[in-house]
Amino acid sequence: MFGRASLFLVLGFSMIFTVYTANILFTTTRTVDYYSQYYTQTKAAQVAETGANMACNAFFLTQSATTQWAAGYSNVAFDGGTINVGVTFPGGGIVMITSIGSYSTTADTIQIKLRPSNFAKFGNFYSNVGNVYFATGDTTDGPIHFNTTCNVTGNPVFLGKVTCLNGINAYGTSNPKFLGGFQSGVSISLNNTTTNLASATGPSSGGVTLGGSGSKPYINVDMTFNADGTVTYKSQSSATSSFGSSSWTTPVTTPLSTFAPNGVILVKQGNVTTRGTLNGRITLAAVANGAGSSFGNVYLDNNLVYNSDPRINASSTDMLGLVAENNIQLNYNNSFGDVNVMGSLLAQNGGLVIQNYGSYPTIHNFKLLGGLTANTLNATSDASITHGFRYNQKYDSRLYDTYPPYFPLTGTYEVISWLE
Amino acid sequence: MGFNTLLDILGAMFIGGILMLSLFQVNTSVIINNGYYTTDTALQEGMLNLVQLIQRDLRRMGYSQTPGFFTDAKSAITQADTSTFTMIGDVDNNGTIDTVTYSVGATNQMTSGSNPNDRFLYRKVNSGTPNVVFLGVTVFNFVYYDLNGAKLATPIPASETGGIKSIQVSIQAQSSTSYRDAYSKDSSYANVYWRQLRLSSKNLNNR
Repeated sequence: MFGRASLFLVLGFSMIFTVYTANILFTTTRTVDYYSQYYTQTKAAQVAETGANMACNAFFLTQSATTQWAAGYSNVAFDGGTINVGVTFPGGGIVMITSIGSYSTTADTIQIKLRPSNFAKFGNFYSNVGNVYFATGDTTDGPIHFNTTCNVTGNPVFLGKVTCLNGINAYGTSNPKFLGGFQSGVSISLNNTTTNLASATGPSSGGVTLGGSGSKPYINVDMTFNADGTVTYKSQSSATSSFGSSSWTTPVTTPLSTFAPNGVILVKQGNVTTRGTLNGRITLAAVANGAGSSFGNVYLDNNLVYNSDPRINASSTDMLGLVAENNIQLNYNNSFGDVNVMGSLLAQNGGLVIQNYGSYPTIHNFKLLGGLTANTLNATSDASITHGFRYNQKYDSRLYDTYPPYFPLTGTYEVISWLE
Repeated sequence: MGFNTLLDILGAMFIGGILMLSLFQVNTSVIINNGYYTTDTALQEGMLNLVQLIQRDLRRMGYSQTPGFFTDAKSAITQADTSTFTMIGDVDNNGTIDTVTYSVGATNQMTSGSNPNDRFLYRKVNSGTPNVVFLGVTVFNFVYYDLNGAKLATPIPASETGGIKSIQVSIQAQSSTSYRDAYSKDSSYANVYWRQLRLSSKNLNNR
């Protein structure tokens, strides 16, 4: 009896152990499967990312060339996986890079969109900052770029993304706040920024070029923007850089929509002095065209604002670009209080100049809604900040994605979306 | 039957009893281990799915099909605390911007089981009801780093989330029921742990 019971007992336990052992082995196998699955997925994602980085690098190396890199990669072996990259141009200047990384039986895809970068997106851009440091109490608004180091001391606050070429140069103890992010190693040239504008004022382009002619090749333009969407302008021309008592033409008032249908007004081999209230979208540029630094300047002698302030009316379409091959200058006027300027300002070889800032009896504010792109960062007041102007800039957030017509491109591309 | 036969039977029963006890103990141990490994595997499976979800979400913060929608990093992260995180991005790539919040519930919300530390992990999309995406999370922790690799103090004010350069995510999950405490002093709950050291969305660096 005991013998038979023992046999049943052994068989019973053997069966139980067999079932449980099989289950334990199964769960162990599944555990390895999960580990393997996670590993292959991670590897595939990393291979895809590698392909995306390689493709971006290859494209960026040729981004300024006539023929940009579009070959992609086909079945490139990498780290046990395979990279396949395709480059397409869907239009609107957009470049799309699709990287597929395969590892074992798993594949992962990364899709990147790039587009030409525009100087108007910057709240502040300086090729050279010299020994100017951003210090405690300084707050910049919008994206900011330095083609040098980012000089900081104390605790300045950068509300927008900061890019620079050579990293942070901290003087003393510094804890800058980069609230929009920070990226080093970015080089953006400010040269040849008027190329875009020249093409916008060519035959049948819809833009307008104001210039001298014949024996008087140089021009001086005076332009007032009117709130009703018109512009009033007059000009004088000269054989030299001195206009002296050259006669002015009779002022002409015309709708902006017919004067410059594509929104570009180019003053060639001359200067322009402007002010007023803009109702529309205009880029006003002055180029020296090889005539030296006496030309290619934009002068401001009063407020230049939008008819519809985008801070009050979010759907405002008024937008201004001021482009100078040399300087953008606020002319001296002892009766000035605060000065308001709205627009994207670009001074290719110079900067923002406050004429005779030390001669002002007190300190005022130069209030800029938009951005300033300049070669140099200039002083706007005396060292004691008692004469001249405080530079008070607020970013126009529309400039993240909308630009004044034909505003100069940086010549580089920027990543606008990265989908993985 | 003589005395010797009785002694043999008693001896056999004694030895058989010891053998039986051993078998029962082995059986119990096998059952416990089977339960432990099954739960552990289920936890790993759940963790794998959770990790894929979190990685996908976080890598898509700041992503939009519409260029210029996101202006900088701070516009993509609206809440950054130790165990609560709210991000904005088109996480399902359908052209609609989503707001996704991860958070954990209180430890007393899970009433079944003996684990005093497990809790629900919630994922809320837009204005919908928070969905439980994992049962039995015991650690759900975010650590935020700036561009210098320095830890940022939490909670990070919404106006300063743009300073986040990378995120460390740590998740630990445990079974709700103890499996080994009757036999050993080591961890009595099935346990799985995952940590992403420096997770960063490329979209935070755009433009």
